[in-house]
Amino acid sequence: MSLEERTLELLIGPQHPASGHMRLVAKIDGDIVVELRPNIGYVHRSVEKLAEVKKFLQIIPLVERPSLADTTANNLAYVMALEKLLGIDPPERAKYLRTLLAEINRIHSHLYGLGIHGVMIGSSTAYMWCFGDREPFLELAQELTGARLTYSYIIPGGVRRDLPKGFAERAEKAIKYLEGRMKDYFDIYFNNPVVKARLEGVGVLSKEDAIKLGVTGPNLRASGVAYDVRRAEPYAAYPHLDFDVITEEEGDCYARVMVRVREIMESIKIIRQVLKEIPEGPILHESYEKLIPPKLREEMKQRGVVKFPSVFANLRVPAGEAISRVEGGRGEVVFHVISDGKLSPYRMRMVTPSFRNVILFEHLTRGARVADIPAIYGSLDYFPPEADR
Amino acid sequence: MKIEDLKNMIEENLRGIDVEITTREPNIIDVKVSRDKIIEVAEKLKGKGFDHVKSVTAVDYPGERFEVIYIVSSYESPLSYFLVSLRTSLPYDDPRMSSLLSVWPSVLYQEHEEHDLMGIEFEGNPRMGERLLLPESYEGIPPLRKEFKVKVEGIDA
Amino acid sequence: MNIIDLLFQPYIFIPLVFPGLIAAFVLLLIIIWLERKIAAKVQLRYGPLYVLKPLGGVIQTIADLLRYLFQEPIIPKDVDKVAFLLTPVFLFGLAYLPLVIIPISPTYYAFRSDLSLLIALALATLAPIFTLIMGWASNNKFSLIGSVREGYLVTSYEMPIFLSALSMAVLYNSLDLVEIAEAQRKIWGVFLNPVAAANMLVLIYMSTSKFPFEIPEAESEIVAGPYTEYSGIIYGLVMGASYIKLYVLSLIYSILFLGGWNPSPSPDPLISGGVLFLKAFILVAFGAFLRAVYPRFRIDQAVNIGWRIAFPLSLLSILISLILILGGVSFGS
Repeated sequence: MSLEERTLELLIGPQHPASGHMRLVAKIDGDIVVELRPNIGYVHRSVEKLAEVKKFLQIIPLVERPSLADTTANNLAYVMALEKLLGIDPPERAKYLRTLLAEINRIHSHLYGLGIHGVMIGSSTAYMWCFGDREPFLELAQELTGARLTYSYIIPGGVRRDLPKGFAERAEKAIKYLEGRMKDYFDIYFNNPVVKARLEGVGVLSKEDAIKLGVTGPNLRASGVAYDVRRAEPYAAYPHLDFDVITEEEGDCYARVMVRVREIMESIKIIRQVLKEIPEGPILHESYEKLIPPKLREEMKQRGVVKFPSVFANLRVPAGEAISRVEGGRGEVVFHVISDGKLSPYRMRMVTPSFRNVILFEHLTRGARVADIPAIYGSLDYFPPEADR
Repeated sequence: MKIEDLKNMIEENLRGIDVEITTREPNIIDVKVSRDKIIEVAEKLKGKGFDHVKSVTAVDYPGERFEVIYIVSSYESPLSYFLVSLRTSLPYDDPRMSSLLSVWPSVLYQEHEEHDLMGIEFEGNPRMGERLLLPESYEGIPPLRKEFKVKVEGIDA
Repeated sequence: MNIIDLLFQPYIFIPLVFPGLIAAFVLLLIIIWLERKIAAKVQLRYGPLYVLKPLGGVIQTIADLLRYLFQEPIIPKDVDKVAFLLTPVFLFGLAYLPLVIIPISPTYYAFRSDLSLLIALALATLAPIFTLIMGWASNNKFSLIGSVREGYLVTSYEMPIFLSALSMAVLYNSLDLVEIAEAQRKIWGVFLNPVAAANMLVLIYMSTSKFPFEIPEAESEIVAGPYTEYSGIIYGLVMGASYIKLYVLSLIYSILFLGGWNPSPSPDPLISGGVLFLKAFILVAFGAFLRAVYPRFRIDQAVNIGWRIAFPLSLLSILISLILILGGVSFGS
């Protein structure tokens, strides 16, 4: 009997409880996956083409929307590329505030990924707990920026709002709550023998393959490669902060989950440092602050909310090319902006971490069992709208 | 490592091939090469320690040329700070070049995306001809080209 | 006889009222609500709340049942209609068939036989064949995979369950459920042969798809397994069937290991039956509680547990029974 007749073609398609907005075309021989091809593009929104007709500041919400759980990374990378073209450097306080938001976003993005992974292997408890424990951080972000999920907080020259009063106490309360919950998580979920049986030894990514395939984020660090953009090319306030780059050696699904959990603890450390060491000062670059009428400037300083100078409505960016990269929760976001001096970019290229990780679907599932497909999928923290843009 | 040292190192490595190397502060090195020499340059860069491609960008200048830019870097220190943008020009009526898949397997999906949206042929990439992000039944101009105009509705222009 | 006397005849009362159809139905309604409430309590949320709010939403299941009754059962075009529509009925019916043999007091039983334990276990094994037919009839690759998984699991739990149950029969020197329960007046079976008790408890959960063995209906891998194409009242029947099977197996387990109706305050059948029902209820509720604790195993891991752990343990339990008998423990005639 030839191999064609033995295999069953299973379409784990968009109408499936655990497939997300994509289709996995699996060829299965009994219980073993022979080949798995991801079929992406179901939520392609043509962000790159739209960026050629929208103005520079209108692109900030545009690039945030694809990566729903980790929007600050896209926002920050885009604005960093703009600032390289404009040739300005934001004030120190703005850099610390950007770091604060990025780390809060990293915490609730990792909890999102862990929760979805939990429900994919069958533990609805992990799902409910992770999503419930995101709430304190979504509320912190709402207090800081005004929105729960897509913040549009970072603008060229600085940030949009200052720290509210009493923020440090509320942040400490939220952090203490999460630290207290970690013991419960380890008792019920991470040290659960069924979880270990499902995740250990499954979907092993070796170090050479991780480097060769160009994967990024916790998937890379779980295979032993200590690469983190916050250390390779530090941005925002990271040069002044003290944190570790978390790696694991095994490269299986359990290692990827553990990297995410420990990165949450590192982010907590960073948030505490930021709130302690944040310097006083303006939150918008002086060349833009000068352009705001004096009366509005006074109101701005009093309320801590930036009023946009009128030049932002028709921002002309000098011709040139800029490449920026940021370590988001899921991995490295790379922006390549080419401007020709007009009101919109000539070409904007946005490479999101999920798009660079798609190749792992084909690579890791070869020879795995059918029940390992959701386990591997969830451990990659793959987000279909982010990959399709 | 300073950027000047890296530029000298790369020039040394690529001696004999017709390339144009410039630097952009603080960490970007542009290597401009013609399309028939690009695989050789890529292999030499890989030998130096640049082990993965971060992004493949195709830019079109209507009537003149296409430009394909590979942003290459390394996962190891100290090269991880630097980005090498390897660029090549393709004539506008013949946008074909050899794929760098044999050198860097990380370009598989990125080249496929530029083929799908911009219409550039990467010879050697097994996914040419398939649709990645566009619907299977799409016919017409590749959308990312300048000739494809985005239809605007309403009062926003 | 008038109708009341007819109703209380054991051969009508036990299969139909208690612990038969009506009691099973009431237990189904309560257990589904309890499962959702317990899971919600663990997961920091409320669970069913709004239907009859002062009582905590306890009649939520009745509301769901009414919805199932009025929902349109969608029958896909290319299914095998006879098999598709009849298998849920058979599944539900066969799941509760062993109830006819369960006694609820030393004197009140539908019919007595020397082999009632064997009859109960044999009747309980009839149901999985209909799951296989269901998977085939649905014309859906996911259903096929789900029903094949059920077939694999049956081969791995069936034998250890029989061996563990029969090890108790060896110990009590009888296959008659009434005698087995009566023999536990002084000490329960679970203390005499704990290996068989623990073994059979885990295998009962494996045979009725309770977490961590919810493999044929693994939602994130194969949608709903054999039950994918079902909607409306036939879906309600099928979901109920797995709980009914758990209830029946819990009754058998309570009689074998937990003393049946002992210690019963009075020989009245309803009171002894109540004690038995309570024990079975606790086991079913524990199975429902496991949903909040464990993810699900892979099929090969579950089959591994069945053959490499449960099967040797069941042989060990027979050995323990033999050692106890040789050591002087003896029961009955």
